[in-house]
Amino acid sequence: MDGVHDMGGVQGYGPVPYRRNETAQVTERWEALSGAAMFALLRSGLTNIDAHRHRIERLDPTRYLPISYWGRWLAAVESAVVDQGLTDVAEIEAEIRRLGHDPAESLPPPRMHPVEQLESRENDPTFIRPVDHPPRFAVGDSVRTQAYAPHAGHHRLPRYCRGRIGQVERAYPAFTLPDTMAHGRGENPTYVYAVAFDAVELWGPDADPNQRCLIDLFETYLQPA
Amino acid sequence: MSDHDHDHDHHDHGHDHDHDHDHGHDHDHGHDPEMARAQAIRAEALESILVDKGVLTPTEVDHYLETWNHRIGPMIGAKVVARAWMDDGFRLRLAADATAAVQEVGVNPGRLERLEVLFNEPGLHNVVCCTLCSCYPWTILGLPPSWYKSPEYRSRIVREPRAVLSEMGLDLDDDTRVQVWDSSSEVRYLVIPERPAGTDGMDEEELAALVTRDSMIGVERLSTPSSPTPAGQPS
Repeated sequence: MDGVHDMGGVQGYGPVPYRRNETAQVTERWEALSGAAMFALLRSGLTNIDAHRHRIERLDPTRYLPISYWGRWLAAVESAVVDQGLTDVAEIEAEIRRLGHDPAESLPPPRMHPVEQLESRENDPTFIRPVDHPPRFAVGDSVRTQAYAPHAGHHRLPRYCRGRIGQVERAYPAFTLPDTMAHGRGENPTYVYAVAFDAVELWGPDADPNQRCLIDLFETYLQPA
Repeated sequence: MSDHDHDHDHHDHGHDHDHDHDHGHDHDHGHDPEMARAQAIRAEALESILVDKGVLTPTEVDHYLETWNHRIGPMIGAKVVARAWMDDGFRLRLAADATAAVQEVGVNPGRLERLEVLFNEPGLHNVVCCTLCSCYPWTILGLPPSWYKSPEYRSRIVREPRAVLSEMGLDLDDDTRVQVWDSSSEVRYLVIPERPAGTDGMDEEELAALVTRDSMIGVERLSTPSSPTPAGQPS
């Protein structure tokens, strides 16, 4: 889907909130819970990483932006456990009351873009799969990306490189395909390539002539160019 | 909603920091106390329900806190970089199969099945991002810093990397090619920064202590250490 998550090249954002070598740690327990719960769901085979990412993408953009990285994980966890029938909003709110809080003070349930989403229930945390067909492309080949989103659901073809010509820089093994993993449609192992695009190809003739973007792309997004 | 300069003093962290210079704890973009409280209330209820249903064990959250805050971190990647600076054979093995090679220095890539290294060198600067989410080599570098996950970095670094890096304190000359790697698959990238001048006499451990997390993402260039090299050998 063409969601708020697909940020590459979006203009209008200001300076990066950068502090050199700031320590990256989880400082609040609710953030750790958001991560721990997601990994527990993965381990239990109740979701997979692609389905998790798609839940985050499906968040209403007005919610996605202000709630921070771990807040998105928390929303995805709630969405997954409700979808899996482990609990529902009424039970969550009853639990909030039992713990001495007012549900009105808590974050409301996540608002999600209504894309059908089923999990692949296999509990295999690995991604690389042997396949018995050779890769379609080799290092140095010119390829053109699909011009449009591959489909309405989860995929990994950023908007900013669609319909563009690049060259295969590195060729990787076949990985489980996020497009189908996020929707309960199987692993479909697919070769991945790091494809190099000149900045001028991505951003137009005024772009930096001495810049390239290298984007990991699944073979199904690519045609010979 | 995007206050980046709020008070950090209310956090009481008793542990030591690593060797970072301008350290300080990060908060994700958008952190504000009211929102954090609203999320904490919901998270507490979800934790209670998930423990009750047997999905989560009560000690699991603490386990992850310990792992993420103390067991993983940039000191892991720094070992890889230091060895790459010392050992040309290791450098070649890293280029050929980084996932296997890093295990030579005792690094366990864990869930990371395919690690790739990017060598920065005179005239070529590599920098890593994830525009679609915030993919990052956790088992090599620890948790991603908040700026890496910010919309500002994710949106701008692929379009105007020279300007963004300059704002972050890294000025590249126009002759240096800049390559931005967008981690949109399960492949993860580690930048091997250029070895700073003035470090010829250092051993591997001393070199590893010079390597910063930000240099391994590609947003910082390492400079000659300001204190005399322990072995006293100028380069």
